[in-house]
Amino acid sequence: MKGSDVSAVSTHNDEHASSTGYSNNKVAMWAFLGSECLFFGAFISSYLLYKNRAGPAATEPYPKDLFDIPFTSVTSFILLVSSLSMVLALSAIQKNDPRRMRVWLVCTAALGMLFVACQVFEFTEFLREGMSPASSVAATAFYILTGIHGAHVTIGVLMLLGQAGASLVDERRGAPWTAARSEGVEIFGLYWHFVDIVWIIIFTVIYLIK
Amino acid sequence: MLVAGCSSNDNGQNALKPKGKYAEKADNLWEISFWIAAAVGVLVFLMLIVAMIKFRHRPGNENPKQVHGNTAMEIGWTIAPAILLAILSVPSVKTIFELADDPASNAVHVRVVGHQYWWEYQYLDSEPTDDNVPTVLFATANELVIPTERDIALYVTSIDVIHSFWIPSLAGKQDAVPGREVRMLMAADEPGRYLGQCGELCGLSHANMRAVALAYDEAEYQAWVEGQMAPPVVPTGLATEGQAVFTELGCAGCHGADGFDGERFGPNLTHVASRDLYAGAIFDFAWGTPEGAAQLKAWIANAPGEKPGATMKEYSGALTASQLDALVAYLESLT
Amino acid sequence: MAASSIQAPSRALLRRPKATTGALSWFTTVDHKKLGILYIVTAAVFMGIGGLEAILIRLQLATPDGTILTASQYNQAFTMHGTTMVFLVVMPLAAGFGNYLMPLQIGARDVAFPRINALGYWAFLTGGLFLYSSIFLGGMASGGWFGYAPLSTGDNLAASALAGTPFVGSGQTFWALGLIFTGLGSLVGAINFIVTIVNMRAPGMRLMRMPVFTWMITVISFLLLFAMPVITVALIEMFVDRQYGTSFFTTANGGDPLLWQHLFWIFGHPEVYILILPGMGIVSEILPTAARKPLFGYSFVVFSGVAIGFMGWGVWAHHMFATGLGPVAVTAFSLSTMFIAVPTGVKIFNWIATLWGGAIKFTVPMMFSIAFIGLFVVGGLSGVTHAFAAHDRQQTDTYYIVAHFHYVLFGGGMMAFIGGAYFYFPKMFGRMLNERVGKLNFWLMFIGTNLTFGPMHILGLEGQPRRTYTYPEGLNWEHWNLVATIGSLILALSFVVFLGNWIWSIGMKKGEIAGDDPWDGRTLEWSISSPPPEYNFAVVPQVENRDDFWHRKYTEDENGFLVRRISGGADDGATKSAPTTTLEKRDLGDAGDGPHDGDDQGDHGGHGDGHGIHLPNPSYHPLVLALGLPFIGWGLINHWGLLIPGAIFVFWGVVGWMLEPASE
Repeated sequence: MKGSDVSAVSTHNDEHASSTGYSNNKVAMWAFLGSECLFFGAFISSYLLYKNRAGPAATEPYPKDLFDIPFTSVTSFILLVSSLSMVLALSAIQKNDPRRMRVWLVCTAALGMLFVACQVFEFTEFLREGMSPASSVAATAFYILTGIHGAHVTIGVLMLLGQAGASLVDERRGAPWTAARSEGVEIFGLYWHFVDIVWIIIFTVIYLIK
Repeated sequence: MLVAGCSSNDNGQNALKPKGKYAEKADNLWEISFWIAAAVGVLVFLMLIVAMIKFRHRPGNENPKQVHGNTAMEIGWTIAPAILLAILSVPSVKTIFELADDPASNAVHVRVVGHQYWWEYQYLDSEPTDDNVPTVLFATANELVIPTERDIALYVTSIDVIHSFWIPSLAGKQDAVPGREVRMLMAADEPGRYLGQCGELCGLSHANMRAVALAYDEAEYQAWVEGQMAPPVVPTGLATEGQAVFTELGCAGCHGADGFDGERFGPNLTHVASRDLYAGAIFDFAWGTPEGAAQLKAWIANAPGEKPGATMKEYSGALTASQLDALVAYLESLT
Repeated sequence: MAASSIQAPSRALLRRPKATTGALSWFTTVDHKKLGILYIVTAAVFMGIGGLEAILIRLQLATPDGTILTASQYNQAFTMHGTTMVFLVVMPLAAGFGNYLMPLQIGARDVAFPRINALGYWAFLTGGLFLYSSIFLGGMASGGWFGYAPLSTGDNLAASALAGTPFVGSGQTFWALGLIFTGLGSLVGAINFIVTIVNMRAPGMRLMRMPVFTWMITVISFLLLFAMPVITVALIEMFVDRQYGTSFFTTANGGDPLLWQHLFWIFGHPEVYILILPGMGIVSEILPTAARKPLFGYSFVVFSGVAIGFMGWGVWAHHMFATGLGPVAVTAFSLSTMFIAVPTGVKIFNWIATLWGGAIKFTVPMMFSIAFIGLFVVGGLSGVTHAFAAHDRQQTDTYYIVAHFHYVLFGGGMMAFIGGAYFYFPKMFGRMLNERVGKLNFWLMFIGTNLTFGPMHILGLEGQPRRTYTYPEGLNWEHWNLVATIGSLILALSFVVFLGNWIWSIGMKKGEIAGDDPWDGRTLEWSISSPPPEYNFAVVPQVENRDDFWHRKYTEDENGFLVRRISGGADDGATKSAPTTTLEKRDLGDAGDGPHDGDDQGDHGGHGDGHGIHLPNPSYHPLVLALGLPFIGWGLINHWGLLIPGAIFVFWGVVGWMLEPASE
């Protein structure tokens, strides 16, 4: 959504190009991701502080008792593969091939949706096994952290689909995307890779380290 | 600030009038930091005032010499304050560790529990550690009774929200955080009555959560301990009726009146008549006076009306005047 | 450009707004100068509300056993006073001055993301209004501006008061969500500032040529960028604790109340510098101008600001010395707190050295700036005394702390902003404020500040705790409390005088026409007309020096004395050598290609100025998006049905935003 300022900025400032050589949108995305590091950092810290904590009379399981490492490894792999297809989408548009870009964007989005679906399945399993969000502070911290990450993936999916759709609309209007539009894809890609890396950290720190 | 340094307000709750060694350690630090800060402040003000007078705009000096900076000066006024602060940090750090030292072996151990809006004091037989769960000898409220010239080790905690235990003339604050028990040390040099109050916002009656430390000399303190350890007085006369009302209304659900038998919501009343203050040390029992009895009845009938947010329920509908009389007689008998 | 907007059919629900003048234009503007004024005016209104709360507090405490407010009203008053002043007054003032001045100071025609900039303002406004809507919806927050859990996650009302009524007891939930919303505005605003400063400086405007105010805006933008997510996480955790009964900050299910304190102060201490650094920046602009000498040790002033920004992340636990951190942690934070005084001291010495040897004109802005130095020194030194952790346990949560941070934030920050308002008013509105009234304003404020906050040092050390709605007779606190209350009334009067001065100058149009450069200024914003045209610079300036505009007017002789250049001397189109005296007769320089007034021409199709300067069009969508926020808040607190209008506004705002190009 913020990407639509690209054209405007580059036109109304042609007379003085950006001081760094990077476009405003890209610098903004980097700044935003810097901010997101602390956002996830604070949630991860909350979880690490609380992973062994429950109320005095708690009988509910801790998140770490329920983790299904093989299953989550598969979902993590799905997200990793989506990063690869995101790279392929960028590469396609850089080679002036908007059709293949759309294919890869939709593929990335589909993998992202699959990941979110797996997460929803995992949550329902955990609930069935008796770990409700308010049962212990460890469970709350787990659900909030992974839930917020899932929300980031969902927003990413919407942005990718939106971009594929915009490209299609422009093509119907006779203005197919060229490599000149690749920066927008690159910037969404930055976001997507970031969300992916955050998941790798969550998977390592929360699921694998006991 | 200068005025503060020479405060002569001996109101019993003044951090500048330490009355025990732990408060004195903190106050010594204040003396150092205050005078250094005052000296630096005066120096800076002098420079500022001289600059304002000497270099004010006058006909003819419109175009002053353009000075852009001076690296030597910059380094000077970076290093000089740093050195000054490094020197000052020595006594500061020393005091931090001194206040965290273990108390002397004859220390009195008291668990201080913050409640909305009053302090509970559980006198312990030994120091609570990871391996030792001490026995509570007896519990009182609002007035902390301590012997002079001995270390008092307070283990500060809370059952509801965060409070902060603070008797300025005896020691600095210690926050009472639910789920944690943190030790603080205090000591009083001389017998006396030292005032304090809750230091951390804890709700509507934060302002009404006061505390008093009563320092007794050793003999007097021992006599007081014996009195608190004694079994509860068996009521007679009107007080017997009061005891019946006390039981009937379920007062014992919150108020232990038969020695300490576990932490309750309200203050332990076993020897309540030995205390002077109640309701977060804002009201005086004034035992035996009609004013005292009237205030106490008003409190029992409608505590939240007397003190905003008080957690004791309103009993005005459930109590007749004669029942109130009986209750007051019962409480008065609990010496 | 003009043609395209006629041909392209509007895909959005709202017709693209065109007007850049008139009342409606304020709702759709993406002009950083208008947004800056909106921020400042809105902050001034919130200042009035926060000030009223302060006066209520002082009246309650004027005598022992005061009865003006109940305990509950008092707790709400001081909670909202602190919250308002920090989040709805000083932060927006920084955003407002930053918005107005930073692009002008770096020679940019606009910010990097004009619509995101507008979103930042509207999120601040709707978030602030949402926060204050709790006054009609069951009472405001009463857990202090620092919202310590578990007090803030509990009900804090008697059970009888909570029964049945919608929203009652939700004050602290309003607080948590309202601050998330305004925080969202601060975050997008910070990103916009960072990108603008990093990427949109005029040719030759190297980082070490940027005015100090812009530098300080840079530092606070980075502080906001990294501090806002931390408080957002804490507020989300508080919200779920309150709304869904989880226990991040209560011990019931294993949580720890101290986590809130750590998260809050990891945000909260950088926040303190977010509040004070813009004031330091403004003063660093005013002092050299009024002393007619360059800022002494520019690079040291800049780097000490950056150093403060970094060190500000390592001192948070000094707010927690009394919680029982253990002597090692206390020592570490005590030392880091002491040494953050070093870069602060460097600034003060440099300011005094700037005055030394100058030709100081005691204009109203200058009086405020010098008062800033003096009052800030008092606040800074009392801050050093807090670093003595063992004695801080006597000081913390007493009026001594209240005295300290009001000297820093009111005597410091607010004095600088008021001085800045006098200094930049002519640039913003084209007319001067009255100097004599300004001097009256200054003396009232200076005396009021010292009378109000000075006695609080004594009261705190004599044992008066903060946040207490009453105190008994007999502790000898009566006199100083009364003095403080009188002082606060004098302060209130000084703000009335200030407001009167504004009305006199631009409301009644009695203010003297300012001309472009009324103070003989040093930086680029003084090189353009007052008020500046919408596009700021007709020709993007080529920057050769630090204080570039000054160097176009003056040079130094061989002994370093100031010499006025004979003529304009500069070759830039928008430069003049001497201040113009009338608003109407604008001499836009000899290059001859400067347009006369952007506003005259702002309304012919598309949006340019007829000189090839292309500016982004106004937009409704930032406002539409932000309007969704309060509905989401009410919906989350009370009934999910209210989420629907919230979602509609947000969806409409986002989609409309995406479909509309930034300029057409």
